Amino acid sequence: MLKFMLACIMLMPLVNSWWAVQSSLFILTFILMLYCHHDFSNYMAGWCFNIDSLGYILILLSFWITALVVCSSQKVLKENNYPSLFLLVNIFLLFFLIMTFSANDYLLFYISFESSLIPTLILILGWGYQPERLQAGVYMLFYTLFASLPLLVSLISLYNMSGSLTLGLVENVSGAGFISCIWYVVTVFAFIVKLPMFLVHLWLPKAHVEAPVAGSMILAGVLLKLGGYGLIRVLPLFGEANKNLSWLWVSISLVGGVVVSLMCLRQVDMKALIAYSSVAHMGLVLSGLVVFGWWGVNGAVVVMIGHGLCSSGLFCLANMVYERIGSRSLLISKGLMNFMPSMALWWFLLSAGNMAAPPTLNLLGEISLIISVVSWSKVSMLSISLLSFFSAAYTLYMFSLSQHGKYYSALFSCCSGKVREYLILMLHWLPLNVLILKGSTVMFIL
Amino acid sequence: MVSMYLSSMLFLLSGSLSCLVLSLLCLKSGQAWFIEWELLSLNSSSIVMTLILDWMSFMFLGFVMFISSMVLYYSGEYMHGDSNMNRFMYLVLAFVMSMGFLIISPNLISILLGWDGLGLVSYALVIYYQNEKSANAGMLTALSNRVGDVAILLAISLFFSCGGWNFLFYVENMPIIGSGGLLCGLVVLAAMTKSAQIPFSAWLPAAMAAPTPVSALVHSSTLVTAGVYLLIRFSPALEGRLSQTVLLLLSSLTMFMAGLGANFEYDLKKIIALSTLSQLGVMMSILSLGYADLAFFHLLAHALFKALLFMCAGAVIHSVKDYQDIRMMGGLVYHMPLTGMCMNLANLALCGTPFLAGFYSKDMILEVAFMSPINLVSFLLYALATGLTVCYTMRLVYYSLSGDFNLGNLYSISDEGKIMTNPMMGLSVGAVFGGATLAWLIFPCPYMICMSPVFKMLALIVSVIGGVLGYLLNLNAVNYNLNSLKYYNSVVFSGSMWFMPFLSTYGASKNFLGSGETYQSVGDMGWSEYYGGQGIYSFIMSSSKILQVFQDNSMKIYMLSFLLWVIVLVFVVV
Amino acid sequence: MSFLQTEVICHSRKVCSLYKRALRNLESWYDRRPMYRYRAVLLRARFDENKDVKDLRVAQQLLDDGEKELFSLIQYQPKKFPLSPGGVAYEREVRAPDWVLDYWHPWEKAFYPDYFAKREQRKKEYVEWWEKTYGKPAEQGH
Repeated sequence: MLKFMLACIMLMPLVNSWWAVQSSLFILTFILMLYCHHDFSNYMAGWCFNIDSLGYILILLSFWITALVVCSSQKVLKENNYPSLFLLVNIFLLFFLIMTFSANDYLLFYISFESSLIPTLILILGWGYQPERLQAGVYMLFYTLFASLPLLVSLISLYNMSGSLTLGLVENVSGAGFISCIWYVVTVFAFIVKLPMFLVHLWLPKAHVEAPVAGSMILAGVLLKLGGYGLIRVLPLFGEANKNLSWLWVSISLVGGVVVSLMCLRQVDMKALIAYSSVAHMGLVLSGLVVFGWWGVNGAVVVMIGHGLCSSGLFCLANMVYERIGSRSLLISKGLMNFMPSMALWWFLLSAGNMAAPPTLNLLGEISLIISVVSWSKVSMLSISLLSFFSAAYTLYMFSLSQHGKYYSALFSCCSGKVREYLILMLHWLPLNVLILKGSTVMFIL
Repeated sequence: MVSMYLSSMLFLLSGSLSCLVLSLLCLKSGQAWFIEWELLSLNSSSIVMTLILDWMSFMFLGFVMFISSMVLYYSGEYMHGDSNMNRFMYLVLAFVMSMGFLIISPNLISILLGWDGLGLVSYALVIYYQNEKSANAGMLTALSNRVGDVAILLAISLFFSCGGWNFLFYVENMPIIGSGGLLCGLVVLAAMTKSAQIPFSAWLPAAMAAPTPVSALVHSSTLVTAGVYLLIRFSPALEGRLSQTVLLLLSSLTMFMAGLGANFEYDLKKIIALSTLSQLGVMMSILSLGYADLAFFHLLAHALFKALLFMCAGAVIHSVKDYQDIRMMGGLVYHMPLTGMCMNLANLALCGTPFLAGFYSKDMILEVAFMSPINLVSFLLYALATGLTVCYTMRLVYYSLSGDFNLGNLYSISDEGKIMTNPMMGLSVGAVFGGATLAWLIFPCPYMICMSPVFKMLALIVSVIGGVLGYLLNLNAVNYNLNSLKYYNSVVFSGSMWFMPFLSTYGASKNFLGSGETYQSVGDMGWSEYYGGQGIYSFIMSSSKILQVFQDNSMKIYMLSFLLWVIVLVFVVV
Repeated sequence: MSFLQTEVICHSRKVCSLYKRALRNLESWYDRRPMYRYRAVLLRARFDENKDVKDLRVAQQLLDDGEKELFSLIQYQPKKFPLSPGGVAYEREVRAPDWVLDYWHPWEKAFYPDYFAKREQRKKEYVEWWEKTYGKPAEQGH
C-alpha cells in the first residue's frame, strides 16, 4: 500500500497546478482499480499496512471521491480562494484515509482515524461559507474526540491483554461481565459517534451545512464510513458483550432512524436534509453490523459504498444549485427543472439512489441489511418498514420541491449545467448502478 | 428526420408482434425459457436476476407493447407543441421498459427492478405537468406505491428462509416457511397498493393529473395491473390463507366503491379511472377465489378496451380545450362521430356486451364467481358492482355523447386528427376481437358452468336495470328537484370515494409531519442539544468561571480553602 | 377568503359575494343549462325577497343563514374552468423566463446565430433607449 501513500505524498509538491493534481488523482484511481483481483484475503502487505477486500473497496472509494471533490470544487480555483492550500488539505485527507483503511495495527488505525479529523476541520473552517462554520467545526471535533479518547484507553488495554495490536492477532475479550461490557461500549462508541448513531448525530447536519462542497462530499462519502469500518474491525473482539448489548444499538438506531426521517420531512435546507438522511441510512448500517450476521456485515459494506457515492452526488447537486441560486433553501431554489432540465434527470437518478431504488448498490445493501435485521428479530420489521417508506417520502419531497413547479420569482440569473458538472454526476451515478451487476466486488468477502 | 413518436411506435409494434408470435409458439409447444444472472452468492444463497419467458409473460409483454405503441403514436398529436415532448417520450419508454422487467422476472428481488421502476417512472409521469395538483397527485401516487415496495422488501427478508428468491419454485409449497402467512400477507399488501385496492385507492383517480396518454397506458392497462400480475404468479401460495379471504372482501368492496363513486364523479378521466378501479376489483376478487387464469384473461381484455376508452377521452379533452368536466361536454357524437363510436365500443366492451372483448372475460368471471361458494356480502357486491358499471357507463354516454350540448360559445371540435384516431382504430379492433381470440388461445378446454336460470340471467338483468337507470335518471325536466341535494351526505360520501383521498393525504401526513416538527424542536433542537453540544458547553463554561474565581489571587479564597482542607485533613487523620 | 383579512367588506358586497357563490354552486349541481336557469331565477327571487331589509341585525342574520345553507349544500366537485385557479390545467406549463437565454453557453447560442445576433442588437437598443429616457444610472459602489 506504500506505493499509493508515496504517490499521495508526491502529489503534494504539485499543488500549484490544479490540473496536475486533478488528473493524477484520477490516474491513481484507475491504477488502484487494477488491483481489484486478488487471491489472498490480505495483500499488498508491507510495514504496518496491508489491505483486504474491505479496505480495498474503501480506499478506492476515498480515491474516487477525492478526485470528484477536486473536480467539483473548481469554484475555489476560479475565485482563487487559496487553491493550492485547498488541494494540499485534500491530499492530506486522502493520505490519512488510505492509512486508516490499510493500517494493520489498531493503534496506527486509531492515529490515522483521528488525524483525518484535522484536514476536515481545516476544510470546514477555511472554505466554509458562513460564520456558523466555527461552531460546526467545533461540534464535529468535540463530538468525535469526546468518544474517541476512551477508545485509545481501550486499545491500550487490549495491548496489555494480548501483547499485540495487529489486526487478527488480538485476543478476544471474553465473557459478558460488567468490565467486558464497559470495555465494549467504550470501544465502539467512538465509531458510533462517527457513523453517527441517532442522539449523537448533532455534529453531522451542522458540519454538512457549513462545510464547503468538498467537505460535505468527503464527509458523507468517506468519513462516515470510517465509523462502519472501525466497527467491522473491532466488533469481532467483543463477541459475547456485543451479543448482550446489540439490542441497544439496534433499537436506538432503528427508532432513531424513523425519527430522523420524520425530521427530514421538516427540513428546508437541502444540505441538512441530505445530511439527516445519511443519519437514517447509517442507522440501518449500524444495526446490520451489530447483529453479527454475515449478510448484515456485507450489506453494511455495500450500503456504505452505495451511500458514499449517492449522498456525495447529492451534495454535489446541492452545491451546483447553491452556486447558481445562492441559497440552499428549498423555498427559494425550486422549480429548477425549468432552468436546468437535464440536471433534473440527475436529481432524479441520484434521488432514486438515495431511496434505494433498483438497480443501485443501496438497494442491494439495504436488502441484505433488512434480511439480517429481520432474521434477528421480527419486531424490527415495523421500524424498518417506516424507515424505508420515509426514505422515499423525504427524497421525493426534496426532488419535488426543488425541481417541480414554478420557479422563485425573484430569481434573475441561472445558467444551465456545465459539461464538467454532468461528468461529476455521471461518475457518481455510474459505479452506483453498474457495480451491482457483479455485486460481490463490493462485498466484504474474506 | 423521423419523429420520435413514429419511431417508437414502429419499434414497439414490431416488438409486440414478435412477442405475440413467441407467445403462440410457447403456447403450442409448452416451452418456457428461464434465464438467470447471478449478482452475488453469499453463504450459499444467491441473489439472481431471473427472467422467465413463457407464454404468459410473452403475451402480456406483447399486449403492453401493442398498447404502448398505439399510445406513443397517439401522443404525437396529443402532446404536440408541448415544450417537453422528448422528456415525455423517454419517460413513457422507460415506463414500458420497467413494465417489461416486471413481467419477465419471477424473482422477488429482481422484480423490484420493474416494480420500483414503475413507481418512480409513473411518479415522473404524473408530475409531468408543472402545476401543484400534479405535484400532490404524484406524491400520493409514489408514496402509496412505496408502501407496496416496502412490503416487498420485507417479504424478501422473510423469503430468506427459503434460501432463494425465485418465488416461482416456492409458491407451490409455501407452508414450509415458518412465516408463510405473514409473507403472503405482505405480497398481497404490495399487490393491493399497486392495484389500488381499498385502503390505497386514493392514488388512482389522483394520478389522472398526468397527461391523458399516460393515463391510457399507465393507469388503465399496465401499471395498475402489475399487482394483479404479481398475484397471478403468486396465486398457488395464497390458497386457503387468511390473506386470500381479506383480499376477496376488500377487492369486492373496491369494486362496489369505485362503481358507486363513478356515478357521482364529474371528471371525465376520473370516471374512467374509477371504472378501472372497479375492474381491478373484479380481477382481484376472482383471483382471490383461486381462478388466476380468469384474472389474467380479464387483465388482457380489459387492457385493450380501457386504453381505448382513455384515448377517446383524451381526444375529447384535447378538442374541448382541456375541459375535463363532463358537465361542460355533451352532444359530442354530432361533432366527433368516429371518437364517439370508439368510445361507445369501449364502453360496451366494458359493460360486457355479448361478443365484445369484455363479454368473454367478465361474464365468465361473474358466472364462475356466482358458482363458487362465496358469502352473501361478496355476492351482493358482485351483483351491485355489475349493475353500477353499466349505470355509470350510460351516465357517461349521456353526459358526453348524447345529451345536451353544454360547451362554451367558441369551440373547435373535430375528428380530423388522423394521428389520434388511427391508434384508436387499432385498439378498437382489439376491443372487438380481443376477448374471443384470447378465450380460444388461453383456455384449452372451456370452463364448465352449471347454474340455475335465475343466476345465469342475473348478470344480464342487473346490467339492463343499471343501464336503464343510469340513462333515465339523467333525463331531467326543467323543474325537477335534484334528489342529490336531499341526500346530500350520502352523495358526498360516495362521490368523494368514501373520503379515502382525504384520509390518505391529510389524514396520513398530518400526524407524521407534526411529529417530525415535534422531534425537531424537542429532540434535535431541544434535549439532544441540552445533553449534547450546547449543554456541555454551558456547563463547562460555568464551571470554568468558578475556577477562574479561584485564580484571582484573592487572599480570602486561599484562606478559606486552606481552612477547609485543614478540617478535611483533621477528619481524615483523626 | 384569505387568511388575513386586510380590508373591511361592506354588507352589500358580502351579499353579492354570497349570491355569486350560490349561483356557482347551483351551476355545479344543476348541470343542464335550462334547469340551472330555472333554479337561478328561484335563487334570485329568494335574494330579492329580502333586499329591502333595513334592519342590519336582521340582514346580518339572513346573511349568516345564507352562508350556512350554502356551506351545507356545497358541491363536492365544483365546476371549475380548466385554466382558472383550481382548474385541472391551471399552471400546467411554466415557461422559463426570457433572461435564461442570456445565460446560455456560447456553444449553445451558436446553434441559433441569427436569433442571438438580433437579441444582442435589441438589448443594446433597449439600453440606449433607457439611458436616453432616464439618464445614465449612477455608478453603484459596493
